[in-house]
Amino acid sequence: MATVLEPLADAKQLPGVSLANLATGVVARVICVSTAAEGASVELALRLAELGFLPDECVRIVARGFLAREPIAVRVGTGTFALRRFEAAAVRVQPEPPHNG
Amino acid sequence: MTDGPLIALVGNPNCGKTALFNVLTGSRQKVANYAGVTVERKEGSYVTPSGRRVRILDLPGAYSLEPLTPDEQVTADALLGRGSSKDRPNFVVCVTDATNLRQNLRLALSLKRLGLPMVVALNMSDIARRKGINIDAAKLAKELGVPVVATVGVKPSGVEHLVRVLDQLPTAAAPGAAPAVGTLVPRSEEQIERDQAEVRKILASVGADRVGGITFSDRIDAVVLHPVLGPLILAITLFLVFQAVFAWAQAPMDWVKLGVSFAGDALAAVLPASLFKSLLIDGVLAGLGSVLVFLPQIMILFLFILVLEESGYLPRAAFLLDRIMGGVGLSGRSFIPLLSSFACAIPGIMATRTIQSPRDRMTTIMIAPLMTCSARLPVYALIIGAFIPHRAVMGGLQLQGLVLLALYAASVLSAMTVAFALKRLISGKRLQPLMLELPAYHWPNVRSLAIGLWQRAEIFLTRVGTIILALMVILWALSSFPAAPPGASGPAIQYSVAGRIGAWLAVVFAPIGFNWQISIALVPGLAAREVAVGALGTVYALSATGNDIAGALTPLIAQSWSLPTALSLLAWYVFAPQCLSTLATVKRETNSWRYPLIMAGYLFGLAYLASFVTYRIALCATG
Repeated sequence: MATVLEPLADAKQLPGVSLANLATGVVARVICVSTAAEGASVELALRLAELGFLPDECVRIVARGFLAREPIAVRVGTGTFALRRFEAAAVRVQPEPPHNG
Repeated sequence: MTDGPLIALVGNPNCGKTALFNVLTGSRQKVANYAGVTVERKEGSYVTPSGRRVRILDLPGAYSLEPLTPDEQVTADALLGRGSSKDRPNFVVCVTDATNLRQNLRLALSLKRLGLPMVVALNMSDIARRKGINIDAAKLAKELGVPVVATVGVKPSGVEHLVRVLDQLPTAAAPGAAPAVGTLVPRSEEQIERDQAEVRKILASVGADRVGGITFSDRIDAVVLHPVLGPLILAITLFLVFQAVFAWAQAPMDWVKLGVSFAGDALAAVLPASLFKSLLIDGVLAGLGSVLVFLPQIMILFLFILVLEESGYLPRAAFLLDRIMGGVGLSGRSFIPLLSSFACAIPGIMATRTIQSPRDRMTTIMIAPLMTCSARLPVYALIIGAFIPHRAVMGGLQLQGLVLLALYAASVLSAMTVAFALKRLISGKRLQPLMLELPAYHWPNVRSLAIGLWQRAEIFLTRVGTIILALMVILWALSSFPAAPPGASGPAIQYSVAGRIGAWLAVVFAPIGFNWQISIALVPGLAAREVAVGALGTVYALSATGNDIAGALTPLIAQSWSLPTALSLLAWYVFAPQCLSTLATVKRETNSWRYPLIMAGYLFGLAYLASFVTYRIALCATG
């Protein structure tokens, strides 16, 4: 799947759902890291990729903060990272059907 | 240390690299679980079985060779030969966490592209085996095209194989003559994706591509990171730590006091009255004894911080506090440096090197000294002991403990206020990054806890034995000469150099209620804060007419200070202008005199203001 590095005019055109909105405990696969979300940049997208947020990797939200539902603890592959909402929002994911997670 | 090939340890944060370094070199240094504890250059050496000496460099953990933090910069510079020539490694050991190869192998691939000779260490292989991850090292070596060795970084037997492999390195390598470095492929999304495809292929072929379901750490996190239970557990943990600092330390502190007063009595009995006797008992013993007594409290505080670090709880605490810190323009990343600052601001300020955003880092440095460092504890403990009655209030809570908690709360509140003010003053990007790794939990290693505690005790005792001892002797001399003129009334110290300096300073400090004894003690307190207590000990020992001093400072100040003066001094110490070593550290870390000067200025101003307000209010309240 192609990686989106160019900001899109309308965030609604982005594929899948934003990782920031993924329900806790649901397994999903990364589609791409986008620079279109608010606060995102090429720098941020590259660092997220370096941490392992790469197409087809498995992600799952482990926990969320109490206030403002952030930060978000995300399992990616076999590692876990705490992200702020705007960081997670740069990652687009496709939730997996619950029975084969 | 200067001969033999240089071997660099490189790896992601939290891969157990520092533990491996400790086992290899037997070096005494800190091992921890949060990203980027290795903020200083750590070099050690050992002799291989064949009798060759090799040097080992422990590079800071990095996710990539394109640096984002000052920490990663160090690693990238060393590996690319951009740093100082003594850092250029002849050989690289890429340390990987065997339970997290999916993440760790990407760095191994980009290291391989650099063309430095390298071996991959499959670290934490014991934990991986227990988790059912069995990696075929020979097969992995074939896939990667470099030697692969399984290691267990926490015990000597776990590195035997690695040591044997390193022993077979080509002997010709001369120090500094690093092999030609390949080019760094510029970072791009495509390159990272290609690497990941390669990693997936490799993992599939060695049978380690399983991405686990719910792990043991997940089950702990379900409780520890729970939106309601999590903050509660954190609050209870921190409360217990501060309670323990006082409750557990009581007995060992009494032993130290007994020992000091016993030594004082013994010396007083055998020595003839002389200047030397005064130096020994009034200068050295009264001064050092009053500082040494706080060793148990400092040890207990550090024990807790080390256990929290090693177990992996600290990054979770940072996670829980991220929102609150975000409110004043910081991120959870600042929590770990700030917590370390409760022990001492210097390691705290150095730990800010793991913060990516320069603005966050600067703000954290500026407020780190507001955290109540352990050197302030002696001052608080002395004044609270002398002025706050030892009684229970509000159903069983200790009043003294509550006052201490209030002082810590005041320091945190003022730090948040300053951070908020800085956020308003410095306009920057609104969204600050967090991206903090939450490593798997594990039991703290007793050996590395012991090493960490011993390091702390050593640092404290060295300070007591050097800086503090020297200052005590200087202060004793300043307080003893010139001697009082014949027929003078009043204590001799008033006629000495220190007495006169104190009298001038007392004019400046009179509006906030400090007498000349306190004013004198504040001066050596700049060198190291806890010295203020020792200095008071010396000043009062010399101003007293009797001979029964060492250790009796508490009743003395309880008699001679008013309550408003005591409260004013407490308020002073919440902000107290930094000790000189902290200012020197800030100068080094920010590479300019601007920040340490601003820091000293604003803290001095706040301290004077807070003391003034406290003193005036207390004066009115007590009539």
